[in-house]
Amino acid sequence: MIIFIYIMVGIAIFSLYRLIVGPTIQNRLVALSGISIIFIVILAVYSIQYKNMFFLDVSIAFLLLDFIGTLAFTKYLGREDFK
Amino acid sequence: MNFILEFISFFMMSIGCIIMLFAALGLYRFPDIYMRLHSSTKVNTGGAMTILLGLILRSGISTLSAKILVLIILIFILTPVISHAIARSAHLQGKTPMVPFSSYPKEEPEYEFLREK
Repeated sequence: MIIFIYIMVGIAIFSLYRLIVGPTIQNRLVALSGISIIFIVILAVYSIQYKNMFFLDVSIAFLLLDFIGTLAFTKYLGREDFK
Repeated sequence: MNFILEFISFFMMSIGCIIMLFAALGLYRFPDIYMRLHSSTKVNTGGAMTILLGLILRSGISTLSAKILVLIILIFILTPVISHAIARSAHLQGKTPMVPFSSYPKEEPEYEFLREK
């Protein structure tokens, strides 16, 4: 059960490459949303393994914050005067 | 019975890990922003939902599994919206998708290597 957390951390580090050397801002946003989904899954696995409910609340709040943040950032990027 | 449920849960979580590894591989390997969106966000959604379904099978009927069900529904709704917003911002900035045969009147010279001879 814990081995899935290690595999997930490995996948997150692997997709951190696109976050660092991505050519444009959109590539970095895609990598960031992927890493945040991996983080949510890690929190859920951890909370089921140790029967702790707080990390699950943290994961739901993190998903909503990621959604709002990415939406606001893309709204900023898609403006008419930002080209 | 408990053993069978645990085995099915382990199997589903392994499948989800493999799917999310494919998503990260596509994010690393594909050349364009639209291809990366196509590879990464949809596949990540499917992998995360598979892993969380495995967790529900493992934890049984409890408050934890109800919260994981809420998490699955939220991921299923919110992640395609994020993908669509990123693609819309890339389109509004004037980025054209990379296609083997360009259907645009202007030929882009930097994509010459993809065109079939």
